[in-house]
Amino acid sequence: MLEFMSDDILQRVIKVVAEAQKLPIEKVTADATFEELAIDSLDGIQLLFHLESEFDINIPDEAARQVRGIRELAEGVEKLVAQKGA
Amino acid sequence: MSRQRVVVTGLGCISALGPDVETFWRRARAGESGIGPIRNLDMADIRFQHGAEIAGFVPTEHFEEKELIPLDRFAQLAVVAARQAVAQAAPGWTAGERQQTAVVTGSCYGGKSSEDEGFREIYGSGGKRPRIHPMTIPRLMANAGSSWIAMEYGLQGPAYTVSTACSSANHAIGQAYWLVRNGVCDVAVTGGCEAPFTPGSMKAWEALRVVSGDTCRPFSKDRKGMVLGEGAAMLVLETEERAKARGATILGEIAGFGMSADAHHVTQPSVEGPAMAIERALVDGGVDGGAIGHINAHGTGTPANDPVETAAIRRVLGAQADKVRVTSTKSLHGHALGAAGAIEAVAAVLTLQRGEAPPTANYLGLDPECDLPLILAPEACDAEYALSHSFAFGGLNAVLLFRAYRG
Repeated sequence: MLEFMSDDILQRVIKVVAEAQKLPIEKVTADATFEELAIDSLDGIQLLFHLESEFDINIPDEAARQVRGIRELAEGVEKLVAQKGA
Repeated sequence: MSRQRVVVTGLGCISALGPDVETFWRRARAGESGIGPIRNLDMADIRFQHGAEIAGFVPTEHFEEKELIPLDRFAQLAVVAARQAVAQAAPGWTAGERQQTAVVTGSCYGGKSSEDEGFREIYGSGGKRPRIHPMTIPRLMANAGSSWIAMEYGLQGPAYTVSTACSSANHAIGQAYWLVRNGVCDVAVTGGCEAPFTPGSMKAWEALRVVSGDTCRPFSKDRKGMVLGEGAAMLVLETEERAKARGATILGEIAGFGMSADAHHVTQPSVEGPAMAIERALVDGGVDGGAIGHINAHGTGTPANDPVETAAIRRVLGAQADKVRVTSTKSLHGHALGAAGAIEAVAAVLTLQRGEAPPTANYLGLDPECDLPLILAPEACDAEYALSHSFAFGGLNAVLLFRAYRG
């Protein structure tokens, strides 16, 4: 999946996460899990809020609930961005 | 300070289940849910669509046009519920007793629709004379319910409002119960009121991602969250001595109250906090966990609350947790936030008084983490004691202990 993922989207997602969580950007790698980054469910909701603004998308609750790490998050965002363009 | 027994002599309730207590009970005991598509708001831009609104509430059937000017919907509902409770109790106040009667209400939000409307005018006015209605402050203050009930009956005792999100009404009723029990006053009007359906508040709940996209399924597998509700419920409490002396019909008894804080996380519940509140209600009432036959659970239907509440009940009740009959009436009347505990108090009192328990609706099957003995169809109830739980965001917990009144 990663090979198809836009590096631009991944980098923007990482930037949003780092800024929202006040984390050094180098800690927010594509393979990092929310658990490793100490992102709890309330932090996660805030990330979704910032990502919706950054990408001008609407992230459904159900899709959001499954996500456990940065790569999955970026993949989900990419899908929604693609749907928006379609 | 002598400890008085505290009884309930009046109940009032207006909710998605109906405009009065009897309609509420007829539908609740049958497991008929008042949850449906939200009709009074444009929900096109909101991710969830369901709520528990009061159908057919016409304010002018209850108030003069002029009286309505300073009354937000949540305060209207408070007064309507209080009128029902006071009419049933017929407290026969003397002038001196009116001066001593307490009014304690709970509300999470206060007059949110007045605030929302007013602020929309200001921020949306585009610089053209941004103004706001002069009654906005009296309408939005969270204590409006208590103030208008006090004015309605000329009650001049301790009167205030507790705002602890979803626990507001349980905290309020518990405080009123202690005031009467401890002899501060002989009579109290207490409960909760809430009218949360406003555009701004729907967007805020949407952003928190705890509201279900379909309906409210407490303790069920595949539950997706809570469903908001509106309403008010009020109870008239008085000392058993006073109620007996005047020959009042006693509907039930409040036997204990417990509070705690999780001191843990602003939205994630803990097992320890709720367990402490349950334990303290039992200790306050001098009752062993083995005596609890019924629980009206907090049971919001969120993925987070229900397993934690299950664990808290198991921790405190031990073996009795496999016998106690548990329901969450939020599946019927929605989560009315600061009114929730009061509506559920009405349900708990009626469950014990009438010997029938309302079921939990919308159940799809077992979640092994929520393995309590749930009431899933109308059933008889011979419990002497019932608990009613409220656990708020912010980790503030309040538990009431009710007792069937058998003289």
